[in-house]
Amino acid sequence: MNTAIAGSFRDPSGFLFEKNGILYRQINSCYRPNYEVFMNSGLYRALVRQAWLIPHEEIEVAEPDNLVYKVIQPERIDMISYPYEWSFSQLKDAALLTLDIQRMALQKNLSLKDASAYNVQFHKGRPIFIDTLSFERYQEGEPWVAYRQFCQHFLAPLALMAKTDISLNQLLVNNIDGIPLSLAGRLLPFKTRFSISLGLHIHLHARSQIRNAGRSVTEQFSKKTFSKKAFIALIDSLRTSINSLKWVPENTEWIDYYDANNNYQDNAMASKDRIVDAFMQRFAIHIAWDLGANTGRFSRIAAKYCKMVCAWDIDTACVELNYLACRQKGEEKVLPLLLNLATPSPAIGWGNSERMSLQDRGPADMVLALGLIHHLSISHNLPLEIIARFLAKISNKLIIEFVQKEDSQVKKLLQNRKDIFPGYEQDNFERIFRCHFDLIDQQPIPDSRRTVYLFSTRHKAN
Amino acid sequence: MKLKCLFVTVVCLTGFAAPAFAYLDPGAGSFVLQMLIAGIMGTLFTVKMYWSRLKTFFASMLGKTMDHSLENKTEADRKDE
Repeated sequence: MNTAIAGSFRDPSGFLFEKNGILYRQINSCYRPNYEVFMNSGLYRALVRQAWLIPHEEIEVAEPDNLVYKVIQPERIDMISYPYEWSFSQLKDAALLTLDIQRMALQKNLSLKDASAYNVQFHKGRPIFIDTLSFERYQEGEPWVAYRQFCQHFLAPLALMAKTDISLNQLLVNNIDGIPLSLAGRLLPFKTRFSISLGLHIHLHARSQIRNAGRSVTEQFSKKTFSKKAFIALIDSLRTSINSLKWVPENTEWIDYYDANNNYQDNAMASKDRIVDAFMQRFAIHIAWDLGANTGRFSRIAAKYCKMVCAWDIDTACVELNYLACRQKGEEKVLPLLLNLATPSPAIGWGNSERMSLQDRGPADMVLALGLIHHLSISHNLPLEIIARFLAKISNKLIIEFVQKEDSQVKKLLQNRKDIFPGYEQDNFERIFRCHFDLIDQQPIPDSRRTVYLFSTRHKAN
Repeated sequence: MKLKCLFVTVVCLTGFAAPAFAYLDPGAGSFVLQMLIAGIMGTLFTVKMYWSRLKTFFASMLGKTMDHSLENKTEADRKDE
């Protein structure tokens, strides 16, 4: 008996499981009619051709029983990410993909039975739908069962990000089923009640939910039917609503970091580029995490030597600009993601296991922590010892930059507070990090107060 | 094990008995709103269709007049030649 991995136990159609390091999806017998229609209708081929759906191979079932219909092996996603880690445009692109898939499905007389944002992942630089079991035969006259879920998972967070505050996508951390529409309605500006799209799909939708709570769906069905034309019009209306939401990144603390701070002479920056490049090319790296990636300068250097780089940053504007740059240039190896390292993405959902924490998704083959340690140590009062311990848990190799107290950025961090960091010294940093890592190399950055170290994590097999 | 199989089978079978009962609760309020949207869309579609017909009617009337004047102009031009 295969055991469902976390996050795929809600749908009785099947589930994901892992065997010998390979990811499989079991299809239960009850989903057979839908799967056959889905595969034979040409929709699967069309979606895979467009790179909208993850491709899979059918596998021989070793121990067939009444429950198991088929086992498929989907192409593996290198890095699982979640909607609360996406920038505005990433969530918007995921929403548009879901609607485009639904529209294409309707043409083949199929429909999405769910519209969860967790069914979309970023793969080779683009959003891709990963739940092969989300398709069911379209029944003429039925409204969209996933309409509410789509509004809660996509429209509400995007509207809140665009109209109220960009950081409100974080509400998804506490609301695994999407942001309740009544909450979204209360948080959105009053004028949005008069907008056709948000007025209808959020405000009126929330009122309708309250007014009709406890009523039977079949009761509604018996009165009227929902034509296919109306269904398509609904999808188009949602598409227009999503498309009309815009967010333009403005001046933030980090967006012009490299231009604004004077720690780097041009030659110092070029030297840092060369050091990171030289350290990266020493190993065969599959996945690297660039922590505090800003707009991805060093992520792109790292990407030359590995399969993919997750460019994590705390600043939504940086992540947004980085994603837009990746999308525009068609970069497949860099995945910008949002992360407050002082409070990394937690494990959420049932039993704290449906969505993985940052640590659960590691260790990364290589972690880059450039221009980061002074922010963790001084801005967040994190002792060097616990920083080293955490980095050792999430990495197999580590490229880390130590920034001395004489550096202007550190001076700025200390200008309005007492220096309670006597341990924040380079020799102490080296002593502590050597307890968790083996030092492979170190290179001072010329014309700066900074040094870049290359470490190998000690307690893990390399 | 048997109980689990029975449970999944029952869940699956009941899921298929009435397609409206998806594994996800669509929400009665969301269904009602979709019906309302369908009504609005239908009305807008009808209004748009009649408006389009009205526009075509006037355009053809105007077009005939324009064509007529063009023909006259051409004839006048020919006479000038």
